[in-house]
Amino acid sequence: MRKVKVILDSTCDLTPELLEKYDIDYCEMGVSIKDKEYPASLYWDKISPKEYYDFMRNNKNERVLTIQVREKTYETKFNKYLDEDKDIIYISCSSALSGSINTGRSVAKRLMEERKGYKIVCVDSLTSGMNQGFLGIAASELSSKGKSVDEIAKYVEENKLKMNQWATVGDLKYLAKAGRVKASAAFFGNLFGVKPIIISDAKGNNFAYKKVKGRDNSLVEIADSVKNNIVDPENNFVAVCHADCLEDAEHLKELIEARVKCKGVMIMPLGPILGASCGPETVSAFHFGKEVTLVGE
Amino acid sequence: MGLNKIDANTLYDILEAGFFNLSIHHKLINDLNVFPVPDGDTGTNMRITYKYGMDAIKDKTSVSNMLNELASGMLLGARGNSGVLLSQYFRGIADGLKDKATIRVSDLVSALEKGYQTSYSACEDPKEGTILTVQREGIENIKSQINDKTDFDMLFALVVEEMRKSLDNTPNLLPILKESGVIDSGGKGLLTIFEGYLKSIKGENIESSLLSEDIDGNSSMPKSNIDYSLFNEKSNLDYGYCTEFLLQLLSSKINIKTFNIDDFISFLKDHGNSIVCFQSGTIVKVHIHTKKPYQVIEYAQQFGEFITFKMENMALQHNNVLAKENERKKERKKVAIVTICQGEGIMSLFKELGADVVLNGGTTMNTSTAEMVDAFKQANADTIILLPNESNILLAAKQAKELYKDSEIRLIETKNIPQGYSALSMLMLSDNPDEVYNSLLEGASSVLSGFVAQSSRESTIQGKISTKGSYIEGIDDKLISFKENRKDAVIDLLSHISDIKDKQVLFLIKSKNVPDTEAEEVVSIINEKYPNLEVGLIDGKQDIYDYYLGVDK
Repeated sequence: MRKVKVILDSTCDLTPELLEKYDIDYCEMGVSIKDKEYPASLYWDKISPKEYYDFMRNNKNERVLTIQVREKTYETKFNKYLDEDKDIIYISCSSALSGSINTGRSVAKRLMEERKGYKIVCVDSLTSGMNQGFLGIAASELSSKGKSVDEIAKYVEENKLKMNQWATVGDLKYLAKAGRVKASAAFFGNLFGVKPIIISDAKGNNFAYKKVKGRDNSLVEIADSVKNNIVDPENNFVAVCHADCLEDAEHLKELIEARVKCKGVMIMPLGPILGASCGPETVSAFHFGKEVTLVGE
Repeated sequence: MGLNKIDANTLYDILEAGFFNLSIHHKLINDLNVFPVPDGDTGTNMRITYKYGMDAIKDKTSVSNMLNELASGMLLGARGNSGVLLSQYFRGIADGLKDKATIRVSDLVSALEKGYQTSYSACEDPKEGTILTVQREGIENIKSQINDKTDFDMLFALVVEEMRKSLDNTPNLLPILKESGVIDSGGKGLLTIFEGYLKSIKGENIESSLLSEDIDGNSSMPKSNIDYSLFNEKSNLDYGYCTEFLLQLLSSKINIKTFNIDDFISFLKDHGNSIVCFQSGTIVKVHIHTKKPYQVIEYAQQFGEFITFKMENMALQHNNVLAKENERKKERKKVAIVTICQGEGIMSLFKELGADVVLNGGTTMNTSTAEMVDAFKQANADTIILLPNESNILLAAKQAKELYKDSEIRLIETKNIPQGYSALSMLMLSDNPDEVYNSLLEGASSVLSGFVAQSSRESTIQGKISTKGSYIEGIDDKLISFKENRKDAVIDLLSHISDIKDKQVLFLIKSKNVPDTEAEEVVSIINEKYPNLEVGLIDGKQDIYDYYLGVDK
C-alpha cells in the first residue's frame, strides 16, 4: 500500500517545527497589502509575526486582503508527492471561510485522471487554525501507522466537528472589515470594551456566539469554555494562538492550566490568514472536545 | 356658611382653576430643580400630566365619572416622577369618591387620605421631603380640625396652609434640597394646584392674562412625525380640520357679562363635530372638527380675539393613524426592545445596537406613560423589554408596564444613558426573551456612569460653592466636584473613580457642544494618564450633558 502524504493549507497555523515533526506540507495562500501580494508563509521567513501585526496596528485603514490557494500551487504540491509515489490527503480550511478546496478538488480530479491508480482525497475540515493543524497531526500519525488514505479521510470526517475553537479579538473593526465572522450587525456597531467569543460552528463558519465585557473577562471565558468542553484532556494538547500578544497568551495558558490538567498547552503565533481577518491582539484556544452542534444564524 | 357641597359643575371649575394656576407657575416650579443642570422640568411635567387628565374629562355631569376620567387621563399622560405621583394621588382621590354624585367635606377628607396612600403605595421606597410628604401632611395634620361646621372654603384654606408649611419643611427632610437651598419642586407643584382650587372656591378669578401662550402644553410635547405626503393632490377633504383655540373675550367687542356660552356651543354644533367648548373667566376654549374652519373663526372673532390657535388637516392625522396601524400589522416579533434617549448620535447608535423602537426623550428626558405605551404598540412583540435610561421616568415606565396588556413588558431600570448604552452593547439578539433580558441586564449592571455638565446656577457641591457656568462632575446621580474648564472636569472626574487604574474600558459620549478636537484631546490625555484603559469616543450629539461616561465596574 502506498504511503500517505498529509497536506494542509495556510490557515492551519502549524509552526515550522510541527510541520517538520509530523512531515506535513501545506499549500500556500497569499495576502495582499496595498495591491502587493505576499505569500502567507507559516515559516514567517519574509516577515515576522511582530512586523506583520505591527503593520496592521499602524495602518488601521489599510485592509489586508487574503488570497486563496492558486491552481498552480495545488498542481505543484500534489505532483511533488505523487512523484514520490504517495497518495495524498488534503485537509482544507473550512469551505465556509475559503473557496480553496473547490480549486483543490478540481486539480485533484484532473491529476487522478492523468495518473491512474493514485489517490488524492480532499476533506473540508469545516474549521481552521490549529484545529485544522490538529486534524493534520492526527492524520499524519495514522499515516505513519500505515493507514490508507481512505481510512485517514474517514477518521478526519468523523472527528472534524469535535474540534473546538474559542477566540476573542482586540478590536472588532478587523472582523467587521473582513466580514468572515457571522454575527448580527449589532455585533459590529460601536461596541467599546465588549469582546466577542468566536467559535467555529457546525457549518464551518466563525460565529460570534457570545459577548463578554472586557479583555480579562474574555480570557477567563475562553479558559472556562476549554475546561467545560475538552474531552480526554490527559491525552490532548490545547493550542493557544495569538496575534502578537504573547503576554495574554501566557495568561490564558495559566488560566487553562489552573482549570484543567491537559497533556500540554502550546503557545504559537496566529497565522497570517486568520490574523488578517481578526487583527492584532486576537487570542484563540483550539482543542479536541465535545462535538460542535451550534449553527450561527 | 360657605360652600358645603360640591356638584359636578363646581368640581370642574375647581379642577380647571388648579390647572390654570399650575400653568401660570410651571416655569417657576421648573427652576426649583435640585440639580444645577438645566434639565429641570417638574413644573412642565406636572402640567402636561394634569392636562392629559383635563382633556380626558368627557362626562361633566357626574362627580365620580369626572374624577375617574381625570385620573385615567393623568395616569396615561404622566410624565416624570412628580407627574406619576400626581396621577396616583388623583387615582386615590377618584377611588375615594366612587359613586358620589356630590361631595361633602367629610367625603373629600377621606378621599385626600386615600389619595396620598395610593401615591405612597406606588413607590417601592417612598422618600420623605418630596411631593409625597406634602400630599400626606396636607390632610393628615389638619384632619383633627375638621368638624361638622367645616365648609369647603375652610377645608381648602387649611389644606393649602398645611401644604405650604409641609413644603417649607422639605429641606429638613431631604438633605439635597437643603444643600441646594431649594424646596421640593413636586411639592410646590401640588401646592400650586391646590392654591388654584382655593381661589376657585373663594370665587377669585385666576389672572388669565398671566396664562402663558402655550397653555395647551403642546409646545412641550414632542412633535410626532407626520408624513405630509399623506395628503396629496389626489386626496379629498374627508375629515375636515381639527381646530383648537383659546378665545379672549373682549369688552371692546361685546358685553362680556351677557356672553352666552350655550349659544356659542350650539353654533359650533351646526358647523362641526367632536366639540369641546367651555368658558373659564373671560377665556373660551374651543376644540372642533370642521370642514369650514373660516366660518367658526369668523363667528368667534365677533366676541374677542385668539390667544392661541391651532389647526390641522384631519385627513393627515387619520392617514397617519392608518399608516401607523399598517406598521403595527407587520409581523409580530417574539422579543423587542424599546428604549428612550436623547441626541441624534445616541439615537442612531441605539438603533444600530439592536433597539427596535428608540423614543426621543427630548432635552429633559420626560417621556410620558402614554408615549411609552405607544412605543409598545409600535414594537409589536410578545415580550417587550424597556430601557428608560433616566431615573426621573422610572415611575412612568412602571406605570406604562402596568397599563399595557398586549405584551409582556419587562423593565430594566436603567437610570442614565451610559447604562443604556452598556446594556445594549451586551445585547444578544434571540427569540428567547430570557436570553435577551439577561444579556441586557448584565450590560446595564456592569457599568459605572458619570457625567460632566455646565451648571445653570450657583450651587453647593461637597461643601464648595460652584459658580454658574462651571462644569459639574457627577458619578451616577451624585455631584462629586466641579471645574471651571470642561476638559479639566472630565479628567478630574476620572480621578474620583476608585481603582480607576484597574479598570479596562472607558467610553465617553460627547454632546453637540463639544468640538471633536476637544474630545480627542481629552481621550489622548486619558490614554496617557491611564494606559490600562481602552477608551472609546462616541459622538452622541446630546443637548445638556456635555459628556456622559461609562467605566466597567
